[in-house]
Amino acid sequence: MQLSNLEHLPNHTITERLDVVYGSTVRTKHVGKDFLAGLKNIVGGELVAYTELLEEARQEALGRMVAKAQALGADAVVGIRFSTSNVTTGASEIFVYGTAVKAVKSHASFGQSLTPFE
Amino acid sequence: MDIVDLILRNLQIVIAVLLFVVGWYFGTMNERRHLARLADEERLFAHISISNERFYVPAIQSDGALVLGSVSIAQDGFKLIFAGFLSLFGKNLTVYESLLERARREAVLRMKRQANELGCIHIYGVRIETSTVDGGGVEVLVYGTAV
Repeated sequence: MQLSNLEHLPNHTITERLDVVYGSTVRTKHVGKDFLAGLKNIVGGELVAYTELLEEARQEALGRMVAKAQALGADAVVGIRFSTSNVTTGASEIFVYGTAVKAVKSHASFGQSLTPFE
Repeated sequence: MDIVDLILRNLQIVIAVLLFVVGWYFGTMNERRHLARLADEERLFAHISISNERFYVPAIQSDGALVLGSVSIAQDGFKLIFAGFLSLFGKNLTVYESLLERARREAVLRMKRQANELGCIHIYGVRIETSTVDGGGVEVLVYGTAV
């Protein structure tokens, strides 16, 4: 499965557009880690636990999206966008969406599929 | 009345002042160290060009790969207090400007590092997103397609 956040797919020609697919997760923080992060707030600096947590959540959301795309028989997902929102205090939703497409490798000049308004 | 008694009686004020000083000292030190490291690594990955133009296509024939870089970063206590003070006058919150600036540079670097591991030299279609995390911190997400 190829993933791209562009309107086309590098080195490929898109043959069929299937559907918009999405994946999401809602995550909360670990109480202990939250406490440590609170301490970190005093001196500033990177909140490593949060970074890891959000990265993990993002991978999971991507995985769910890819599973949906595979169910449609897609070769790739293009136009991927991420969004993060706070649903309640202490929990955030990671949402990722894109368009599932069928694509074939193109040996023509690069960027051939780059016609924005087909 | 001895000094210990005085400190105990004004414990809250003492703690506040202590946090202020600790935040100021470590925050400034952290920031300086971070800026130095950012400059170093930016030089290391200077060969990777990035662009967010929608219709720019690098002259290279390879499959694209989605690359991500993200960072959560907290503001230090001293600067939070300072920001509260500044916001009384409605000026630029310079302390937040530098925090966001650092976070973005860090996130871009992480994305570049990921692209470097894949052996890519261009990243295009770059998007930068910012969101808040609880307690005065920010999260920056940068993503793009590497070729």
